Formats: sequence, C-alpha cells, structure tokens
Amino acid sequence: MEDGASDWPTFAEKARKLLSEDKVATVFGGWTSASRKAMLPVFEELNGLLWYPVQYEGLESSPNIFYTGATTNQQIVPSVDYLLEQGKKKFFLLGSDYVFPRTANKIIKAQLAAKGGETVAEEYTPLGHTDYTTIIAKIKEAKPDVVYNTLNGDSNVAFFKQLKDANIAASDLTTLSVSIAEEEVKGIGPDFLAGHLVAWNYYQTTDTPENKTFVENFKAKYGADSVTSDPMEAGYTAVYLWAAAVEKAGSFDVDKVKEAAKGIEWNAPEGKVTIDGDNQHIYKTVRIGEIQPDGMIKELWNSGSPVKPDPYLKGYDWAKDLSAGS
Amino acid sequence: MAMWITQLFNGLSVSSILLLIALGLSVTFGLMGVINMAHGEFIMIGSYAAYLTQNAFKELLPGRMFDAYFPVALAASFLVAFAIGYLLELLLIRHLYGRPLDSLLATWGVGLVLQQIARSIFGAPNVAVNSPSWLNGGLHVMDGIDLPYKRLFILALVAVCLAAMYLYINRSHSGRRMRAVMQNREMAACLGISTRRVDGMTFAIGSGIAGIAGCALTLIGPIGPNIGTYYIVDAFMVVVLGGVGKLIGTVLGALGIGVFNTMFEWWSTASLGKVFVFLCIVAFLQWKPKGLFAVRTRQLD
Amino acid sequence: MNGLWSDRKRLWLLLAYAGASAALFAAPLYLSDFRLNLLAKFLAFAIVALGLDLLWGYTGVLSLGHGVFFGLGAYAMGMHLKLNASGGKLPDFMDWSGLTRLPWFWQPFKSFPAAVLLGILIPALLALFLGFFTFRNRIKGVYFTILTQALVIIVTTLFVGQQAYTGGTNGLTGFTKLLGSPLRSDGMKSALYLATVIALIAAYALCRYLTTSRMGKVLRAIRDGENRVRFLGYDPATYQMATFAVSGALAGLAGMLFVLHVGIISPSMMGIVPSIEMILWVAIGGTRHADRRLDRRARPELCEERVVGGVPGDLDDFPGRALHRRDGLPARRHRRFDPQGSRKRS
Repeated sequence: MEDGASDWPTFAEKARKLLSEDKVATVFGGWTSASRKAMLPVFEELNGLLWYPVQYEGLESSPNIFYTGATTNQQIVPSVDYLLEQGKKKFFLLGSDYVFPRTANKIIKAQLAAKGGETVAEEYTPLGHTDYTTIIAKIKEAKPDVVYNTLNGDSNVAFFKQLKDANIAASDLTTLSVSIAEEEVKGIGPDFLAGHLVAWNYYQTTDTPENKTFVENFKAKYGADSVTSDPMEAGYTAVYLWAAAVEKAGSFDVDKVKEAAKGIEWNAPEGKVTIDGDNQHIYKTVRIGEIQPDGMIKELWNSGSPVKPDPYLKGYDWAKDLSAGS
Repeated sequence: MAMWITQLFNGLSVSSILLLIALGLSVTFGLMGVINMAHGEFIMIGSYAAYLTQNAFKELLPGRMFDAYFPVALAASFLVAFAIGYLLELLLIRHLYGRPLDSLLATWGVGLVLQQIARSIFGAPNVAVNSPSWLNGGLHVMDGIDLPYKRLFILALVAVCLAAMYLYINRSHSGRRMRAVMQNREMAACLGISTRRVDGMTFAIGSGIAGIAGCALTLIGPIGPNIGTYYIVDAFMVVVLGGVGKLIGTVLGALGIGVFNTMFEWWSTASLGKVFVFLCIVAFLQWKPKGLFAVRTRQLD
Repeated sequence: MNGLWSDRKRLWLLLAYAGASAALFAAPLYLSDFRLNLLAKFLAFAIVALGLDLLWGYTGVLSLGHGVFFGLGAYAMGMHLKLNASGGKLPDFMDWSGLTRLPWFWQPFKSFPAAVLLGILIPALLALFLGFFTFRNRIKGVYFTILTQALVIIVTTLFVGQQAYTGGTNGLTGFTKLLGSPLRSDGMKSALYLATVIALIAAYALCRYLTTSRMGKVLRAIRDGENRVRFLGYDPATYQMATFAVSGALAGLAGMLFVLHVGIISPSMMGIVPSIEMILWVAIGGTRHADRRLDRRARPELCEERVVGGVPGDLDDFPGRALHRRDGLPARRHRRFDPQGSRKRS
C-alpha cells in the first residue's frame, strides 16, 4: 500500500516504485483525472496493470488500465437524456475548473445542441472555491430549468448550503450532480441536499442480493454509520474482476491477465458487469437517483440493462466533432 | 435593479467574511509581526469546535434545545482556539519574535501538523454541521431580493467583533499595555509591563477570533481538515492591502477585495475574477507599498 | 579566505568536492533505475535551492513564488516534449478542448534549443519584471513575500483555467521522445542524469562566483543594512533585481530537468505548497553558505523516501553521503540577525 498524497507527481513516482522495485502484479487506485494521467505513462512503459475505480471524462483507453468507473456514456450522456425527457430544456452548467467538468460540459453542450436543449450558461470556479453567492445570482438571472453540477469536493458543500440560503429548494430548481455520492451527502448534511438529483451506477440502496451482502459486510467492518458509494463499489468490483481474470489465466502475468479478462462477467453489487475486451472498460447499469432526507439515494430511473462502454462516444452522431483526430 | 442590489449585498457579505477571517490575523500578523501561516488552521479548529458542540447538543439535550447550540458553539470556538493559540505562543512563537520569515516557516509546519491531527481525529471527509433553524431562510425585501439570515448574521457578528476589538485595544487597560508592547517592547518592559504575558494574550486573542470565524463559516461552507488552506492567502491579502497594524485598514482592505471580487466575478468568471483581484493587489502595493493605512514612523532600518 | 581557513582544511574540502562529484558522476553504475531517477530529481531540486539561497541567504529577500519560476521552466520543456510526442499533430488535450491550430506561443517550442533557452529566459524575465517594480518601490521583507504568494495564485489560476492552452489541472504528460530518441531508454536516462549533475555543478560554480565576487559583498551589505548601502552610492534595487533574475533562471533550469526525469508537470507543482517546500530545503540546510546548499539537497525528500518507502539501513548506499557527513546537517544558524556572525566567515 502506498499513499499518493493526492499529489500528482507523487502518484507517478509511487507507481514507478510499485512496479519496478516491489514488482507488484497489479495496482488498484487513483482518484482524480490528473492522478491517472500522471500514472498512465509509467504503467505503459513498465507494462503494469492499473484498475481505476472512478467515473471519468472518457476519451482515453490505455492498454494497461482497466476502467471500472463509468465513462461518459454510462453516466453523463444518459443523465442528460433523462433530464431532456423530463422536459428540462435549459441547462446551466456549473463545474470546478479542471479537466473532468470541462470535458463533460463539452459533451453536454454538443448533446444539447443536437437534441433541442439549450445551454444558458457555463461557469467554472477554482478548486476550493467557497463563495457561491455570485454564481447563484447568475443562476437566478439565467433562469435555467436545471443546473448540471460537476463541482468537486468541498465546493459542493458551499454551493448547496448557499443555494438553500438563497431560498432555492430542489422543487424550484432541479440540480443534477455527478460527483456527490452517499459519502459526500454525509459531509454536506442531507438537509441541504434532499430532493436534488444525482447520476451514478450504484447506490447503497440498489436492490440486488450481492449488494445486500456487500453493505452488510461493509458495515460490519467500518461501523453502522458508514455508507457505501459508487466509487467504493467500483473499487470492490475491480478486485473481484482481477481475481477472476487471474484465475482464468492461471498466471499473474500482465499480458495473460489482460487477455483472460476480456469478456469476464461478474455479479457486482450494482448488477451484472462485463469487461469489454475492446477498451477495457466495463458494461454498467446507469441509475438516476434522488437524495433523501436520511442521506440515502432513491433510484428514480435506470437503464434496464448494462450499457456498453463507449469512451470516445463513437456510437453517437452528435459526438463526431468532439474527438476528431484522436 | 434587483440584481444590482443583490450583488451589492453579496459584495458586502463576501467582505464581511473576509474581514472575519482576517481580523484575527490583523492582530497576530499586524500587531505582533508574526506571519502566522497556521491562522487557517485556527479557523479549522473553530469549525470543529462548532461541530463537536452541535453533536453534544444533539446527544445530551432534548431536541428543542438544539437551536441554542450556535451561541454556545461560538463561545466554545473562541475558547478552544484561544487556548491552543496561547499554548502555541508559549511553546513556539515566543522564540520567533523579530524573525518574521522564520515564523512563517515554523507556523506553516504547525499548520500541517494541526491538519494531520484533525484528519486523524475526524477523518479526511467533510463533516456536516446543521445550522440552527432560526438562521434558515432569508429576509424578503422585494421581488427577486432575498437577504439570507446567515449572511446578515455574519455581518452583525463581524460588527460586534470589530467593536469589541476596538474597545479592547483602545479603551481597556490590557489593550493599552498591548499597544505599548507592540510599539516599543523595551520601553514597555522598563515601565513594568510583563511583555511575556501580553504577547501570549495578544496571540491567543488573535487565534480566538480566528476560531469565531471558523464557527461562523460552518454556516456557509465546508468543514474539513483542509478548510484553513482556502482562507489563509485571502486573509493575508486583506491585512497587507489594508496596512499592517491598523484595524481600519483591515476593514477597508476586506471591503475593497470583497466588492471588487464580486464585481469581477459577475462580469467575467470566478477564476478570472480571482486573477484580476490579485493583479489589482499587486499593482496597488507597487503604488502604496505599505498598504492603505501605514503606521507612520521615522525609523530607518 | 583568511586565517580561519587553513590550507589543510582547504585541501580536505577540495577532496570532499572531488569525491562527491566522482560519486555523483558514477552513480549510474551502482544505482538501480528507480533510485537513479529519484536522485536525479533531488539534484534538480538542489538547483532551485541554490537559486533560492542566493536570494534569501545573500540579499535577505524571501520569495514564496519560486514554484512559478520552476513551473515555467518545466512547462517550457514539457511543451517541447508534448509537441515531440504528438508528432506534428495537435497535442491531444488541445484537440479535446476544441482548438484547431497550434497557438502562436507554442510554435517556438518545436525546437529543442529554443525551448531550453525560453525555459531559462522566461522565468528570468518574469523575475526581472517583477523585481523591477517591487525593488524599486522598496517593497521588501514580509510585503515582498506576500506579493510573491499573490503571483503564485495568479499564475496557477491562469494555468488551470486555460485548459486548452496549458492542459489544465492534468498538466502535460505522456512524453515519449527527446531529440529523436526514446525518453525512457537506459542510455537516455543516464545521459539526462549526467546532464543534471553537470547543470548542478555549473549552477553551484555560478553561485560561488557571484557570492565571492564584489557583487557578493554588495549583496551581503544590502542584507545587513540596505539603507547604508544606498547612502554609499549603490543602487540596491539593481543588485536585488539581478539576483532575483538569476534565482528565477536557476529555478527554471531545475524545472526543465525535473520534467525530463519525472515526465509530468502540472499546476500543482507550482502552487504555494511546493513553493514553501522549496524554502524549507534551504532553511533546513541553513542559509547563506553556498557550499552548504548541497547538504540540504532534498534532504527532507530523502528522509521521506526512507520513511515512506521503508528502505532499511542508513544512507550508506547513497552517493550524497560524503556531502552529508562533511559537516552533518548544520544547525539552523541565522547569522544575518547576528552582526558578529556575518563577519566570522567572510
């Protein structure tokens, strides 16, 4: 176990250490886009294997990384479709100023343009920004149907607290967030969030037999107050998928494991997942949920069956110009 | 029109928050010359003190008493930060007077230690503090203008803190001693003032005010081990812009930065707004190197 | 160099230098790839520290903005490597961010010599520009330090915000080639390592030359009594500006080498925290003595690696040992607050 200290060059250095000195068979981890980008060249150079458990901005498919979090077409694209179906046409895009929100919003803008929605404004705030009064004033001025929120971490706390202060409740203005899971709800306080929407692939309340066991085991280990969330579930799933691949390959060798991993299926807490052999992402079920006053998330809609991962959005006509050249 | 009034209010509100976080620093940095990089962590201590008070009220007292937790939390935040500040002065700062740049590095280290302690005790994720119900909602002035009670409360709190500090520094005996020591340490010592005690007291008061700021910030912002880092640079900018050693300077510094920041952010984006404000500060300091209000002195070197 | 420094001491000192240099030059022979890479990174940091010490130790000006100069140098090299890696096409992140043509300010970085030159010149010029105003307006001490913090905020916010031009928070990574050969080949790694050693020695020689020359004397005089120097007819601002520029240039040089070793540069490496860490390296080594800068070379980093990595034993396998042991980790002395002290050694 190595601690990346959330410092990106450190991630690269530790990855190098794990692979070249400790000769580990595989690595699970990484949180931000930047940490993954920092580690990617190291894993490709030394032919290591990384399992990355967080939802991310797509447009990437490294032969040395398995992506067990959602790519854009398993979270963002369907959630925008869902909102459009609900009659929400005018989108206000709000995000922290870094790569995931900017790329996500670029995709959303293209999608809205193609499907008759409208982007009324797009705003980014520096990481760690804590005063949202001006942004909220801008939201009031723009009168959107929905705020699509890709803020990160602490900024979410400030935004939702101040949104409530401005007398804007979830019933007045829908927001949909893609970086708020059960654990973040706990840190913000469910009072401030009840009624707001989120999009993920898994909630603690997801109704599968596997999830029941998962939640029980988790609470037994970390206490009854602890909550499970999507990135945790994706990390958990990654370990089982790797184990299954190693078993099938009968070896820890990176190339053999990669070959064996193609098409592996496993019943994860979120339902059945399958590794897509082409891009090493996994098929996942998309779920839109609403935050409840008790801090849990109630599923409102799901995609019915696992969605095929499409990191470059090749299957969408309107996305053609987005990834031109890459 | 409504927009302008709202933005004006927002500017004022941002200024009041800046002033609250800078007020403690204007004492430790402005009066004592200690570059206290751990100032942000005293804000964090205040926030966690509020969190603990809230939890205590939740568990020990009946639900209807819950709303009363906030005044208690304010006092608790002040006292806890005051005590830790006093301790820090006793153990560390005392040895660093007259070496501002060294105090910067040492207190930065202290800040890191405090952050790590908070992370070990409370965990890395944010914790939730529910605001008392009497602060929810806002004052409805006219169509499109709602002034949140929390913001009004913070404005009032700042005014009270400011008045209390003014009275303490300028009207009380211990305040007079404090000023004497800060202006001429040797002379004050010769006249029988215990400079040690005054130093400890002054630093602790500065830290205590940071604690109050932390408690107030739980109303509108996150509560986690890192929050100090979000406010520390802004706090320094306010004090430096206003001029070291003058309360009125700090007030005007906060007002300037808050209003300009809100305006720039309204016209451009949050990132660019921040860049503009800092550029303005840099440019302004070129023109007035000692800030808006400088203590005049004939001293050279 | 008066009586305090006997010939014998000088001989030992020379021997120690020679031994240390030899140990450094021979490191590729006896260190594993991973260790060599770490050492190279530390040596790059040592160059920043040298520059900072020149500024802080000799003029008493503390900059908390050296992360910016370091970052600018690193970005200059990173841009060149990124252009190499994308082989004539637009770098990947620009493509995603909707750019169709290479921005004009990326053009010069296509050429390696230009990138190297700019990586040193841009930080130096920025330092000169900033120094021109601040030092002439007699902003000093704490105010200067806080100003440099503002500079850090401005630059990092800009770099993060202009994702299409700078790669945003991800920074620049995914480098492959330098001057036509792969960056990760063994030969290239050793060559880069040796380049770093040479750069460090050159930087050390430069600092040594500056501090022992007449300029060094003026700098020390400024530190100990700026106004007195002014009354004697010198213009302290010019000297401070020059030192600040040299210091910035050294940080830029270090940044370039850092990118070559680590393979990534992002705004998080130029923020306030790295800037303060740089100051800590200098502080722990003790300021003012250029020859001690090598001691402090990334000492905290070494310790960190030892603790975090759980590497057993002491530093015996490290070539830096000769230097570390020469006079141990000096206690932090602040002679500039001690009027007697400043005479003892010069």
